[in-house]
Formats: sequence, C-alpha cells, structure tokens
Amino acid sequence: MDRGQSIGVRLARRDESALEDAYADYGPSVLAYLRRYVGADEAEDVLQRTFLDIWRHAARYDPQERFSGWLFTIAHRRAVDTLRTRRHPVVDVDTVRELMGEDGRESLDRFADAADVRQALARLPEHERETLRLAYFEELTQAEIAARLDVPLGTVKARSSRGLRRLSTNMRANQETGAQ
Amino acid sequence: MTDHFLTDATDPTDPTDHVDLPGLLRGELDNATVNDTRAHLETCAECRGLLVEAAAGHAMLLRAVRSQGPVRRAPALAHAPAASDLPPPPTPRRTARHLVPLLVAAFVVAAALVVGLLRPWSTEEPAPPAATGRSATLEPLAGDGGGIVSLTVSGRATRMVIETHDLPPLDAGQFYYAWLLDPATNKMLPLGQVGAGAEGRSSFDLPAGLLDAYSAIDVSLEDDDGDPQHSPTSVLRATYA
Repeated sequence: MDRGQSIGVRLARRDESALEDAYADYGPSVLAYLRRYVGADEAEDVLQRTFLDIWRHAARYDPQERFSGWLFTIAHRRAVDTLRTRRHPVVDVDTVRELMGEDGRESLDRFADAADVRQALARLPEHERETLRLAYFEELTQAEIAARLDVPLGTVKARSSRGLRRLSTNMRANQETGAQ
Repeated sequence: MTDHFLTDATDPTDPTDHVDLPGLLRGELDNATVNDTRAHLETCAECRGLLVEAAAGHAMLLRAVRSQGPVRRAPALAHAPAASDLPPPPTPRRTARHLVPLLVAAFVVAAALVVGLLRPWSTEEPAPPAATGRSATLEPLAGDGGGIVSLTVSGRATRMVIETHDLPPLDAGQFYYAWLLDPATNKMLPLGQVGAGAEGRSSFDLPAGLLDAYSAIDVSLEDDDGDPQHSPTSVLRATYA
C-alpha cells in the first residue's frame, strides 16, 4: 500500500489528520487541474467542494484503487458540475469537450499521474527536491540553479542526477507496493 | 572506474555522479559533449544503468510539468490551503442530498458573479460581412417545447445559437443541456447548458470541422448529479445536415 492508498484508508476511518495529509499532498495538483477547466476565480471553491466530497464519501474508496485516480475523478465531477451550471453568453466548446468529451478520461489520468509525481518529489531530501523543482517547474538551467542557490555547478548536477534517480526508484516502489 | 570524463559533475560524496545525465536529458549539453557522453555510455554499463534510472525520473517530471504547467504560472500551487480552512466535516446525519440545493444556489450565484469577467470576448460581436447562415427547427421528442438552431459560419468558426421555448418547468437541481449528436452511431459531444428554464437562448462557438462529424442537435434534461454522461431524457432534437 503506497502513501496515497494509506491516506484513503485513514480517511475511510474518519481520521481527520488524513484529510490534512491529502490536502497537503494533492491540494496543489488538484487546484492546478481545476484552474485549467473552471478558471482561477472558481477553482479554489471547487477545490473545497472536492475535499469536502472525499471526506463525505471516504467509505467508498477502494484501497485497491490508486488514491489520486479516485480523488481526481471526484474533482472532475465537481468541475463538470461547475461548467454545466455556468451561464455565459457564449460557451467555450473546446474546454467543455476536453473535460467532458472523449479526452476527459485521459486528461484526468494525466493529472493524477502528475499529482503522484509531485507527492514523490515532496519526499526527496530537501536539497534534491529544490534543485529538481527549479529545473522542471521553474524551467531553470543547471547554471541558473547554481547561481540562484549560490552553490557550485557540479553540486547542482550531482543533486539533479541523484534526485532524478531517487524519484524514479520511489515511483517504481510506490507502483509495486500499490499493486500489492 | 576509469574514463568518467565529465569531472565537473563529480561529487566527492557520491562517486557515481560522474556524467552529466540531467544535462543530457534536458538538452543543456552542446553537440560535442553529447557525442562524448554517448561514446562513454556505449562503453560504460554502470553509467547506462544510471541513465535508465535518471531517464525514468526525467520522463515523469516532464510529463507532470506539461500537465500542470510551471509553478510560476499558478501561484496558488505554492500556497495550498491549510486543512483548517476546509469546511467542517459534516455531521453523521447530514447527507449530500441536503446540500444539493445549497450547492446549486452557490453555483448560480458564483456563475452570475463571474459572467463577463472570465470571457471578455463573449459579448456579442458583429458578424463579418462574409458570414453565411442556416437554421433548423428543434422538435419535441415528448411533451411540450420547441426551438430553433441557427448556424452562422464565419471564416474557420461557426457560431451556433440555440433558442428554446415552452419547455416543461424544471425541478430544483435540473437543467437543460445541448449536445451534438450523430444518430447513426449515437456518438455525442457535450456543448453546454441551454437557457435558464423553459425559454432561453445560448450561443456556442464551434471549431472548424466539428459540425461535420455530427448531424443533429439534442437537448436533454439533466440532473445536477455530477454524471457527465447524457441522461436518459432527450426533450428536443433538430437535424442540421
């Protein structure tokens, strides 16, 4: 059982600290997903409703299922509700199609994958996590990271290399334990 | 271990960090260094093993970034709300059914507040002189109601306007919803909510070519249940092709 599945099981036991863990681990990723579809103005409200739903319906979580997949399915439904009840003079069909049409499931899985990666990233040693965050999420080069952190370039390369390998190892271990 | 030439990546605490694999994977190395690294990898099984691990991590991170976007474009990511900001957990006797009317009301209020703010281009625009139009009548499938669908082609886009009238009154949490439909295959594409009740007017901007994949418009009666699929109840339909 990986960390996400463990959170789901604790939620089902009505453990409020599990809700805090779920919010800390997955909240930013769910928010990014919702901002894409319902916009920044409504995303945080829909985020609150999503986590209210996972608390309310935690007993329905199947521990054999990937927790992030279950969570994003609920977020998807709340986003669909929001789009459906929105009253604009003109509807952006491309957005509706991406969320509700044939591409919706693929998009949901992609964001669930991303949430798992961010969770694994958050569990790396701080210096490796920060180096990879700057490299990938802020798109800095290794030379720029060295300047930003005021450390030698070789140190940045070593931290990046070890961080990437540790991340992939942890992700594989999560997948293997999650499948058991 | 010999000939691990990229010594600037070496960390004395980790003798395996001797090749700039992140630089290779992220396209930061010049061509000559890429070729040197390749030549080294061809002869060094240990470095090839490290490359496999690093490539897997790189691929997952890159996909995550492509899905979520850089953090700097989504500031809220860096400040996840604390769990204490969540609404209080519901009491055991309180069920979702009790909250539906409240949530629906909240949706309507929130939507009313943001109309015109999120889509500034959504105000009526004058049709270009070259625009061509056609229309089709929405016929009731059961009960009352009717309407008309107008299609205006302008350049590579088509604006569809759906006007409905005399539809049955809606219960709380219900709404009418428009779909593109291919009757031959029953393939459907959700468009959006139609009207605010029995009578209404809604506009949809459709990309070029989308209408060619369908031939009819379907208006359904939906419940606010979070299910994105078409409900069993269709109320109006028109064939445009």
